[in-house]
Amino acid sequence: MKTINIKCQNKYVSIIILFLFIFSSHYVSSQNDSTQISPINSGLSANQNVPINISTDDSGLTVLRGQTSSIIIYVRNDMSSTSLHNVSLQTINFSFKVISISPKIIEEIKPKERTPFTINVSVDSHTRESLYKLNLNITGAELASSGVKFNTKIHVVRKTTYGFYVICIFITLALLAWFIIRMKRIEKLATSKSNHQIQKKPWLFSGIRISTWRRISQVFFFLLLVYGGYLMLPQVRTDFLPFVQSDPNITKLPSLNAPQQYTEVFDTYTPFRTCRYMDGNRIFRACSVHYFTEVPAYGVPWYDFIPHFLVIVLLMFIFARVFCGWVCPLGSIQDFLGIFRKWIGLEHWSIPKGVMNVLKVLRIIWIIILFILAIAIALPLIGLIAFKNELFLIACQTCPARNIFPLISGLNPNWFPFNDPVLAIFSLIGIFFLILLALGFFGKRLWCRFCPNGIIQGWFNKGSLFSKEKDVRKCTKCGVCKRVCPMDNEYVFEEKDRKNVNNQDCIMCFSCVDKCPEDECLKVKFAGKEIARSKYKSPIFSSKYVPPESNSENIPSKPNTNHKHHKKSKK
Amino acid sequence: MAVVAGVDIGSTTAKVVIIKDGKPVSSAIALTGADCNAAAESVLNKALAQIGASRDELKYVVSTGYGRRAIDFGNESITEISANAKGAIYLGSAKGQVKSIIDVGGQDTKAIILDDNGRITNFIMNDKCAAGTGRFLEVIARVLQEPMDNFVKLSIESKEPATINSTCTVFAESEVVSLIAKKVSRQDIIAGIHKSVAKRIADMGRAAGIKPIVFFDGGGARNLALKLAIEKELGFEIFVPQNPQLIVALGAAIIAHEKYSKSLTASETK
Amino acid sequence: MDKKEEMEFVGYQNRYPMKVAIQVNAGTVKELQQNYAKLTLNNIKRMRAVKNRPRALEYFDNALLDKTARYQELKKFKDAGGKVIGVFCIQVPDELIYAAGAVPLRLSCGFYDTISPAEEIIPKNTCPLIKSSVGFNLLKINPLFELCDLLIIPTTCDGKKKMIDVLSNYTTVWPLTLPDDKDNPESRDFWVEQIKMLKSKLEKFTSHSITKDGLKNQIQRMHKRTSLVRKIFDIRKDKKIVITGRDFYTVMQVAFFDDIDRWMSRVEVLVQELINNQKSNITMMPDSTPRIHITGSSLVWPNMKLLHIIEELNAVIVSDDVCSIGQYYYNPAELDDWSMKAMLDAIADKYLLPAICPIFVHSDDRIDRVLELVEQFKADGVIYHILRLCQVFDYEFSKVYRVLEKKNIPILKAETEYSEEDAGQIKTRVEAFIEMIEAKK
Repeated sequence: MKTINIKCQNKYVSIIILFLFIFSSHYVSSQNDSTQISPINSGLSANQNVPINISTDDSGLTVLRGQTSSIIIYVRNDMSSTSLHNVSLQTINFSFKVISISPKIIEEIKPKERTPFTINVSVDSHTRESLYKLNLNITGAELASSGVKFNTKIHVVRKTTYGFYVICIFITLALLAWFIIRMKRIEKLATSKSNHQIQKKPWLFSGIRISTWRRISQVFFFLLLVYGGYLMLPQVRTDFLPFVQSDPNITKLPSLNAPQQYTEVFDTYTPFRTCRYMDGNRIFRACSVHYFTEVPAYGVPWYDFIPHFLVIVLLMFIFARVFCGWVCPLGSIQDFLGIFRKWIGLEHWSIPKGVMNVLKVLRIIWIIILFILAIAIALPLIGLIAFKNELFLIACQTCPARNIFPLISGLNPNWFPFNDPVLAIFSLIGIFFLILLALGFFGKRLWCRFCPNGIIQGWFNKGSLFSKEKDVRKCTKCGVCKRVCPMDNEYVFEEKDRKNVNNQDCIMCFSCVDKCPEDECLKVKFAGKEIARSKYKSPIFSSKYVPPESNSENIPSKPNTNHKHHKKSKK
Repeated sequence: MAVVAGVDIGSTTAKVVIIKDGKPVSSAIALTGADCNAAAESVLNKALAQIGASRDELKYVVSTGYGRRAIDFGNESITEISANAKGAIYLGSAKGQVKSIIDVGGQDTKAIILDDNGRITNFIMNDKCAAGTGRFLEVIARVLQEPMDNFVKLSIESKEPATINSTCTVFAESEVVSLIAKKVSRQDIIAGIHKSVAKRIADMGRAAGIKPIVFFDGGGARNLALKLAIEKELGFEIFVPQNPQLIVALGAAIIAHEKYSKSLTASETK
Repeated sequence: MDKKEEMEFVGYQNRYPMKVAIQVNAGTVKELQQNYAKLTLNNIKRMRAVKNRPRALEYFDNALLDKTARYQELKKFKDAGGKVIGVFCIQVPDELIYAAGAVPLRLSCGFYDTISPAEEIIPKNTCPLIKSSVGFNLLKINPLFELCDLLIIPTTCDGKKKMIDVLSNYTTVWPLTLPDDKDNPESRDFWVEQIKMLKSKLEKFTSHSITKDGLKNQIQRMHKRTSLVRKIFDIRKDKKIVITGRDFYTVMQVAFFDDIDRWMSRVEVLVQELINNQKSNITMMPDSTPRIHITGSSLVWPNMKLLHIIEELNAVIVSDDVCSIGQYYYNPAELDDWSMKAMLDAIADKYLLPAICPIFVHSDDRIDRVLELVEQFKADGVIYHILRLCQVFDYEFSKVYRVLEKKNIPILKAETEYSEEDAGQIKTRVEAFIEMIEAKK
């Protein structure tokens, strides 16, 4: 994939267009359907009016997940003089478990009268908050033999709790406290008579290192993406693109099993490394690799496919691998393991270089295999369709997230299957990747070098809007940048000609910029504008000493009168 | 009305140039001897006497050269390198902008490179070894018992200069003696000596980045044979001013004049 | 120690020991000691002649004038079981030595009078620094030399390499093999191995194992040392000149042998005074003084000839990248993981990668450093100091000269040595150079 280099101004314009695009098309269609429900297949001839109609209360179609709820459907006899006899209601192809419909049969509905039917449904607690189709069939003596069909949508919601609001209040209070303490400290520093002079008042966020920001971001996104659902955050409605219709046969959340057909709503995917294997009304649907491997398998129509594709590509173009370093929960897990090891003081270990070089070659082969297989199960040419079940979503099957995320979000992971030879191979590969992830315990990110999502985003790294720039002359070649890099990337250290030192393996964690001991040697730039720079962090002096600027109030040097007398010592 | 002087106290000779009203009017040369101060005094008085001026009229003196700090009547001292550059630019050359200067003195040799504005960009001095200086030629002239004018004349007459292998002056002496014994003609020997000196000077010039127009001054510039030999080594013409020995003192005098004029205008505007 | 132990420590056995002492009589030694003291005093007097010299520098002057206090300190330390290790050059890791419970002592010397005695055992045509250091130490003009239990010498230039062989006749010497090409990744691995070997050898030598915490403390301590030096660098960047190059040279020369904690606290006092002076405009030289950057061969006490010449001609040395002055403590060992492997990696990298010593094959890093310092400190010109017969710096001169010429930065080649015979000639050159710079401004 060729990366495109756009000049700064064009970058700004493209960002603005993207955001307009997203936000203008984002509307939440959470209104209930009208209470009148039209029939779809009356079973009667066209010139005859339908003698009955169904309706419901405003709240009658809302059910809570995780418990048994009732749906009340009113059946109304629209005929002026005839009664309806032996009316009963059935559900067709209903996604949820119907416990009972009461009454089972109604003997008579008088003209212009309506009778309620109560359908008791049990909705699983893991069901996604959404609208689900409800197909009804009404049979009766006066009606056609196959019955009158109606369809409507029920709205599955969750119990409101106040956890979300509590957490929001807590976070706000914490931020406020931090803000106040920080401002006080800045005032004290600026007015102190300390000799370690600070010439100008530091701004609010000065002195916070890039690595601190990054940890905060990682923790935040980890909680948001993994547990966001539990925290009662409102779900992002992902079927917002105007020309994409939700499929009527939307099914329940199939967390762990591969769906056999294209029955799910084709929501927006983002490179946000959220996973379809996470539970709890996950914020976004799945990562971009899932998208890229699912699309060929399903034969998705172009109008479904293009907008999501554009959104993904644009986000990758802007952020490239910043997701990897700052957002991805899988990466955060590796970093947290590393921190844990440092805290308990265990010794450091690293993969030998020769082994790493071999693995680097293997990962290219792996990516190619993934894509071939993803397409192969859809095309008859390669003859792998028979293996569709096993090869479906291989990227997901071999990804360590497939087991880790269910574990940490409360689902049963259904560990790697070995019951089938093809599945067994992929399970072995999956175990290998899981071990790599666990080796993050020793400080470096090993899984991230193989992650297909990361590799695809890595192709965008060189032309990304986020860039690292290096000034070779200021560099003292001390080698810190390659020692602290979690990806063992030596490119920043080795590159001596070009200013821009992005490369494909970089997860944009900016540890190198953070640790570089020379002022202004490494800089982080967004769309050409500098947002962070390296500086020397002295353990003794609190801030960089800025000498006093000379101004006219200072005592001027003696005026230069006549000629200079050079009183040099006579030797 | 303003009379200023530049005094160049070299290792062999002391020179003075006097500038009156912005133009050089008189000059004098004398041997330095052992007492720098006395030599400087006497040569200064000599130059003043030429224009009939007294010491009181002398407003500003800039000293330069090896003994510049030894005298006690100077207002300021500068190195001979800066003074040389100043003097060369002032005299200029009819052929174009002076870009380099070669100064062959009694005990040292200098190559000075100038930029388009006449400012010094680089300089190389050879003051550690006599080979390549005027001293070398003097020594050999004494060995061959030739007066200096004849020495030069004989060198020009030579058709094929001999090759002198010794780098050191002392050993070159013995080499010359052996060449005489081999019946090599005096012209060729002397030409060979000049070639050896010129080669060293040209190497030094090239290391400094010499480029035309080259100004050749110092005491050694009076030696026509040396000039021709250097031209042969460098491959292009070099130019000798009328009084090559006085250029440094002239430059010092020009600086004295500039400094004095500036101080006058400063005191006027006060 | 006996032969077997020695072989284990050093890795080789001196099969043809040359127990030739430098033949001087006691009277000569006394005379040399007096000359050394006189020269030291003269240097300090000349520095004190400049006005507004910070008072905090008196401690450093006194430390150089009289080393007996330090001698007593180290003697007590040795009697209590400590070890003193003599080092040369800047590639020997101080952190490891301190963590092993020993004290390093840098033994280089720039004293002219000890050169000719040393020519008995060291050839005439070699670096004057090596000759002077060998004479100075073996003749015991340096009172601290006899306290050294061991010398560790990295194999930097040719002279140092052969000095290892010569000095091994007199005392135990450990060579520390430095790779010649630091741009090569295998070289770096090799150097890490050398550091690891040095660590285990030191542990055995001092019978004091190097623990993780111990090494961590030392790395942090050395980092504090670095930050002090960098602070002075920051102060010198300003156009107000509150400390001259010679004074900074004095401060760094005291660090060769002084107790490091005390040195750091005194430098902190000095930094306070410098900051105050800058605020109250108490400068040592006017703001318009020409600013010089010095680069090239090592300058060690008491060789201040070139420095005196430059600063007494009314120029000021604002920056330098000489290994015994400005580069000495400049680079820190940064790391975020305090495991033993990471610490040894960081220490190895600190002493190899940013080193701009010309004994490495390529000189580009050094040119980067010179250009960067000239720009940061707004130096008007560069003086390239070469000790006579120092081949490596001489080789690099032509490249540095061409790069600087292209960038219109004036550069002067000052090739000299310790004797005063060419002082006049150097003075003329430097004076002409300063005039050249001033005409350009």
